[in-house]
Amino acid sequence: MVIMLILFYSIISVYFFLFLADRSKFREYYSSLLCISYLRFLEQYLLVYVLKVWEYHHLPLPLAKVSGVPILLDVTFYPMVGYLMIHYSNRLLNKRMIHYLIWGAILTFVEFTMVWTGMLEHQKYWNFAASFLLAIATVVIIHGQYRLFLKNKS
Amino acid sequence: MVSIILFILSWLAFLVLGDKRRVPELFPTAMFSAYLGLLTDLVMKEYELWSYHDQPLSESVIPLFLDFGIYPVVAYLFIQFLPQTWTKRLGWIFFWSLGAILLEYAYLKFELMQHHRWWSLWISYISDWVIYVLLILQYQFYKKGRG
Repeated sequence: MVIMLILFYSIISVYFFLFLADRSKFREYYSSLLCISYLRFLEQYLLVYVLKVWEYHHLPLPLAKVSGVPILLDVTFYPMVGYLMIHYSNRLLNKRMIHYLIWGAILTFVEFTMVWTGMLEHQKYWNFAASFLLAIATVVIIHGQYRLFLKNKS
Repeated sequence: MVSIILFILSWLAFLVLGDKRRVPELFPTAMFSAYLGLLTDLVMKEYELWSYHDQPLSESVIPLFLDFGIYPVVAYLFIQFLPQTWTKRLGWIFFWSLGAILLEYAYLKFELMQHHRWWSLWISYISDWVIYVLLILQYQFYKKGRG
């Protein structure tokens, strides 16, 4: 189940970047793609190794032994999510709030699939409400850095 | 304690030397540097090639001080003052990689850091060159997206 999930998310993201994404936007969205991947690394490091509230199980050997955490998804699937998040963002404040909530829910759902398949286990005080808040914070940071990146664009 | 002092000194260097008007242009480079730092930290947790010991910080927290301190600030300043031609850039990389390797040597000498398995100071030096070249390449890539 876990390997199937990793393969499923990886394959759809590779397919997306090869055939569906607008390549002319890659330079403009670069910081957003980098930022979401960076935030995922940070979350993994803090939650798995420092706070120890996340624990991964049943990872395929190369991922489990070398990386310990599913880095593959952080460099394939999550950049795709970052791309879509910025591509379909809205400049109107009230619509942006709904946008944050929707993408927060999507990210939480992705985490739910990881928990459901047994790949990820929440420990101690961590639950899906915390995941949802973290997901919204991630979405807000992605949008904030994108606006900063385009500031004073020459 | 050294990692905390290094963290403070890094941000002081940024306050003094960093061109704050160029933050929208240069922050992805700083983020890229921290990104590489975090990636190696995650890998090092399972496949240990080096480790840190710096009281009162725990072994897991020391890399975070580096990832949020010296790595992004050095990357920012490195690209901020980047020369135009590749000949000059090679000298520029040599200058910064020398600084990086001397710092790592000091960390090893004072036993704040240990190398394990097949990792050595020479491999660190080659890695520094690779990282600085990557910093330039990714900067040139996204700079075009800003127009």
